[in-house]
Amino acid sequence: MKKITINHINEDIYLETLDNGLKVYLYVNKNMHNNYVTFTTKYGSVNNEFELGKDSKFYKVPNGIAHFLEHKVFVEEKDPQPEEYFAKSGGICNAYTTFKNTTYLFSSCDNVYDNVCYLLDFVQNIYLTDENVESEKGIITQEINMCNDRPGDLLYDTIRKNTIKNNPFKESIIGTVSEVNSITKEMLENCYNTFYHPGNMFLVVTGNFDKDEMINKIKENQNSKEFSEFVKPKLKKYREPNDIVKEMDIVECNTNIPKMAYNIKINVNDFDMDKRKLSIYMFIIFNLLFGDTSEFDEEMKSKGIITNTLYYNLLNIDTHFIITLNNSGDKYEQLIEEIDKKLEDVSFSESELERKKKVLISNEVFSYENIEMINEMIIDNIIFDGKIETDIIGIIESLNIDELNEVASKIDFSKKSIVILKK
Amino acid sequence: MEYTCYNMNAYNLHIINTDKFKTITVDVSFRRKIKKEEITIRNLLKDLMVNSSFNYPTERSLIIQTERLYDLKLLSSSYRIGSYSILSFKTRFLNEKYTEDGMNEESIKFLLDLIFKPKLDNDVDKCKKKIEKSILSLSDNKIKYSLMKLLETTENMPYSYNNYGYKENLDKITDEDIKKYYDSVISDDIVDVFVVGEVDPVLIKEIFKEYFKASTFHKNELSLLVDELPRVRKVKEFREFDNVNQTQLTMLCSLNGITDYERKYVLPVYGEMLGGSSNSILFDTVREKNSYAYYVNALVKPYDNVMMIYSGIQKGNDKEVFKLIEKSLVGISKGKFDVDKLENSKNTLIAAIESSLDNPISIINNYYAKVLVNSLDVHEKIEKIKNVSKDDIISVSKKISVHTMFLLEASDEENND
Repeated sequence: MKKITINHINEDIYLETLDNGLKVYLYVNKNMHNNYVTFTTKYGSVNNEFELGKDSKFYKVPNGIAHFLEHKVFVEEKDPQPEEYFAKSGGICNAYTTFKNTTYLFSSCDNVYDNVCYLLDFVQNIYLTDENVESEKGIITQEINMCNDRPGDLLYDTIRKNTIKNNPFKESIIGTVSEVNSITKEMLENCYNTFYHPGNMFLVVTGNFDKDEMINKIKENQNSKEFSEFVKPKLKKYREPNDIVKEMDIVECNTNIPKMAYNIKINVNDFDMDKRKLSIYMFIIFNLLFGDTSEFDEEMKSKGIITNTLYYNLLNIDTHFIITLNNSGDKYEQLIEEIDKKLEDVSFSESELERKKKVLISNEVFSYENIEMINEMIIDNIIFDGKIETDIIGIIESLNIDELNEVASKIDFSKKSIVILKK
Repeated sequence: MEYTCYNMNAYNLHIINTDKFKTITVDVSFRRKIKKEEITIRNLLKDLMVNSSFNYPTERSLIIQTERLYDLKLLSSSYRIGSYSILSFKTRFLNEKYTEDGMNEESIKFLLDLIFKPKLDNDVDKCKKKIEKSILSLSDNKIKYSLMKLLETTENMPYSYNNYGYKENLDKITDEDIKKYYDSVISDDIVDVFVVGEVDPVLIKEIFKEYFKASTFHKNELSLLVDELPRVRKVKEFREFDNVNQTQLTMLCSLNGITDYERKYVLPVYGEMLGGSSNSILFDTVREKNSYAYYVNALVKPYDNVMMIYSGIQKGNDKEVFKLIEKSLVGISKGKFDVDKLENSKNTLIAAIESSLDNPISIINNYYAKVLVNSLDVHEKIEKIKNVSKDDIISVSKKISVHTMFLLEASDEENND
């Protein structure tokens, strides 16, 4: 096993790559009672066009299929069903689908070795029938209706539609009712066979266990199964323009408080810089401009234009970052004007940067207190660029004021799109 | 984990010394009998006290100070448990082992200064607006909104109060009211303080002795338990119409004649088995076997003597789903459930209790439960839960009956798709 040490925090993560291509990450903390285990395929809602088999034509599937597949992977032909299996030892299991990955997980204090093997077993085996595909559609339709009744979800979907032109990041993860209804057993099988190969997946085990025993059990489990040779999925590439799709959009919605999102589309190739570092600079820039320690925040609150601090989000769609500033309240028109004004002249002082660096560093230490957060951090790292960043604190320490001001000066704030949700 | 409790006259100081965490968590909890007319001002006070202080007279200067203290986290909350209203101020910060000497004391002092040297006449309008917004936002979450409406139908029970507060009360609150209410909280509320982390209890005690200035009035405890709802012969039914895609079906059940043993050990197991997780009876019946819903849950409130059941369904399916839920309830009282299901539910609950020891806030909650309802320590509690039998479940289930149903559904003309 390869030991990966996280600098400055002195925590170790172990990595083993199995013969079938599966990567296993282990983090042990003897102080904890619980174990948190995730099994992830690098397959999410955006991978909806890919080459199938030897045929080099692109195969297009309906939106929402990765999420549909997640529901079906959870169903076993014979009882016990996964929920019941894990519950026997007090464990709970779940799964979720994002833009770029689908993750199956459980947490349990006891029986962790067997539970890990069971997780591998149920995900690496799919049971699909025409009937069970049909019956799932009713459940997913209710899930879609639930999301449609949440203004926050509607806002987030509209933001992506209005900022992204070609990349499937613009589509919703869950799909629409008619897209979900068009999904067939055959489509699900094709997606499963393409993306659920061990070579496209990784397992992350965090908690209190013996790492040698764990890796042996996992190897034993994987060696007992046969897999075809791994063919790396060939995904369609998208040319994404720098321009946004719609500058201003007012969407009618059943909510008492209007919601506003101010979005900026940034081409990451405009910056000659590692993307992770760039994303940290972006956080600092927008936090210093609009965060809860900014003059802007204080002024807007005292003028009654906002009541809560603007919420910042960064969506990484590979070629671009979509930066979003969110707020809710009646005075969104004034707020937009004030944000515009603030972005006309952007520069920072060294002391502000140093304060934010202290915050970021202490948050890295905070995150090593919780096995779920460590697990999620590993997943994020792998999905981000395929490896664990071992010197995140070093990166934060290396940030400097000249670079910060240079990054800020290169952002093209004119690529903006505004979404308003109101009654 | 080593537990020490110091009686500091005006309050108890509970210290849980453990090397499990790189952080120290401190919680100062005030409690008193809940009164509907005080909820709004208590929420306002909760926000004002962490917005600014005598030493940091603006919100911005206060937050900048938290960043200087290695991004100390600050959280205030106001919530209800049974008949009590709890006002809690929490902080979590990196142990000085990972930062610099003296930071533990400075961080605790920072929290206590917010409590004892507040600035209550600053940003009142801003904080009022925040409260108003949170009251209005409730309807953005259809599940929470429907449960609130369901509970409101019981009128004067403590759980019918809106925890976010009331707009009509908010408008009337004056600076003078806030000052008076603050004084009464400091002098009349019962106070418990919790510290979790790798600390020297004696040193912590000294810090509190010096900076924690509370008066020493004699304070009366009261029962946490909320009165029972009388059983009803016919289930009360309420409907509300709105522009929604999904119907929210919610049900309130009364619990009558529950014993202390049942409240502490049997009801949690019952709730878990009925609708606690994706391995529950309701999940199996309503979702997996009949595809009626994406979620269906049961939520037992042992100290409120009620249970809630809720699900998001297609308009028009409410009668069928209601029947299925009722059938599940009756089935349990007739013993029609697998012993395996029961064992699994116990194991899930036990695992949740065990893993609560991995989180400082849950550790505090465990000790606070000991203060409030004299609950056993974690290991004894687990033993009790292990011993909950099928007969225990059957007999508690006979004390549960559906009382009210509330539906939020689409108005007919809007339900075109």
